[in-house]
Amino acid sequence: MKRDDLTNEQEILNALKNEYTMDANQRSRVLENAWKRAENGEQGIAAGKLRPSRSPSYRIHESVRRALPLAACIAVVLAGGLFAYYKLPRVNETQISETTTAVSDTVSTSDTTTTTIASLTTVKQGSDAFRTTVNSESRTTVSETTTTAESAESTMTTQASAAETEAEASAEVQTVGTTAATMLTTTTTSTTAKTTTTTTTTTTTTTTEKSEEFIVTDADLYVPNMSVYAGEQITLTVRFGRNMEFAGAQMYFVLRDQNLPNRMAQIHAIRADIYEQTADGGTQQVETLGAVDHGQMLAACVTAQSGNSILTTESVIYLDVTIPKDAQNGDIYRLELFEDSKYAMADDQTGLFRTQFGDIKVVG
Amino acid sequence: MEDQRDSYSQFYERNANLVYAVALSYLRHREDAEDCSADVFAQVFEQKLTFESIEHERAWLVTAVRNRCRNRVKHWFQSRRDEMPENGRSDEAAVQLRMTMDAIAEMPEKYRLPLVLCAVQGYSTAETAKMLQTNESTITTRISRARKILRKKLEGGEMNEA
Repeated sequence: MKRDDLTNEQEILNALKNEYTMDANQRSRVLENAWKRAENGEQGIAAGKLRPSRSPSYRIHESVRRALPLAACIAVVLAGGLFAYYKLPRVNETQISETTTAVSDTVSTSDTTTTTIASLTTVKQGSDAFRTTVNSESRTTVSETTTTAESAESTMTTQASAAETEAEASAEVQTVGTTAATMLTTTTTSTTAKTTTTTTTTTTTTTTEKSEEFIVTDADLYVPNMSVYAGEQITLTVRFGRNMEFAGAQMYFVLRDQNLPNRMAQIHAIRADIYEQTADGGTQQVETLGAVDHGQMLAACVTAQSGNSILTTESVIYLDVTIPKDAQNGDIYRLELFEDSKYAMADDQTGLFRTQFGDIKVVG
Repeated sequence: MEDQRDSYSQFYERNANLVYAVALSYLRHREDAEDCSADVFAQVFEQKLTFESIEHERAWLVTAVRNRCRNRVKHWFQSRRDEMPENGRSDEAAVQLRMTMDAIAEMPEKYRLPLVLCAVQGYSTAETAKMLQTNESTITTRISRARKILRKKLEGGEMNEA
């Protein structure tokens, strides 16, 4: 419409009056609806009736408006569920934290449990059969071992009184940090439980005869439990749970799939900060050799130069490893420590000094 | 009861177009405007409302229908409805009318209502001022500006007068 046409602007506005005016049919329809609604409003409240004769478009509008909040809630819940299912790692963090708490409680309340580490260490020297028992049973769950430890506490108290290294062991354990204490005790409690059954057949008279030997138990070294993805590169931090005497001062590490012993994670590098105990009771850092290529670095070795010394709990070993790309969700890798390379590469489950610690779970 | 119904029928005849025009200018949809009008009259009938004067009843009706329309329009579903009735005509005059109605519908409320009531429905400035509860001079100014906006809009310009 051009400006010239607007000379008749008022005429157009007058013509619009027809558009803004109801015709006879509309008037009677609106009046009828108004009366119906008024009557149903008066009588329908008592009778519980809904107001009728809404226009179809209004009814659709009302239906959509009423359904919208519920639909939005359902959409949000579904979206959250789908996100949680597909995007979040499928590992139950709650379970892990609960387990950790339970175990740390055990640590704080039972000194007698920690003293059994020492007695166990000495007992262990004389019995290969006992070592086998420890290795095979060390995979029991934490909750089970905690319960068992409580039930076996009284037994262990009496046995621990006979151990010569009781005071030393308890003191060492107390120096471990919070996280370390958790990991340490996870394995400690399991060991304690086994001791109750083993010491019935193995006398404690064999105590300290071979205590000078290098020996590794589940409680001596630890790595944190971790959740990883297939193909992910991680750095494992290995610490000593107590001062350890190393004759050869060589440690071989392998990260092995617990279901497929032939499958191992590739170790890229090994670094170590090793400290030894000096004659006057202090500590000094020991020069170490770096990574040693051993079988395409599926096993790595660290060598402390000093040899035949007591390595302290300050010592830390770092392992850079890559989880296999074909690892499946739910696979568990555990770090294994060997004193001898011939055991390190074999999938022989009965390696003499073989031990396992830390659960590296594959998720996603 | 019959007497009361007769009096309300007269009331309805007096004000039906006023309520419908205001509703249509907000809702831009013929059926919704009817529905809203029926709601307003149903409230009067149901509550048996009485008014002091013609001006009072008009002012009450305009306020009531305006509030109902605002409630509907602010909902996202209604705000997306943009369906002015065509009345089945397709000639040039119908197109011009449609353009004019669209332009009026897009105006700010303070200009649209005086224009519809005064310039379209034919109420006087004084009557419109009482219905909208404002001054006559304000109504005159707003109608003038509304016409200006309408002219500019129909020429193809933007509505900058709001």
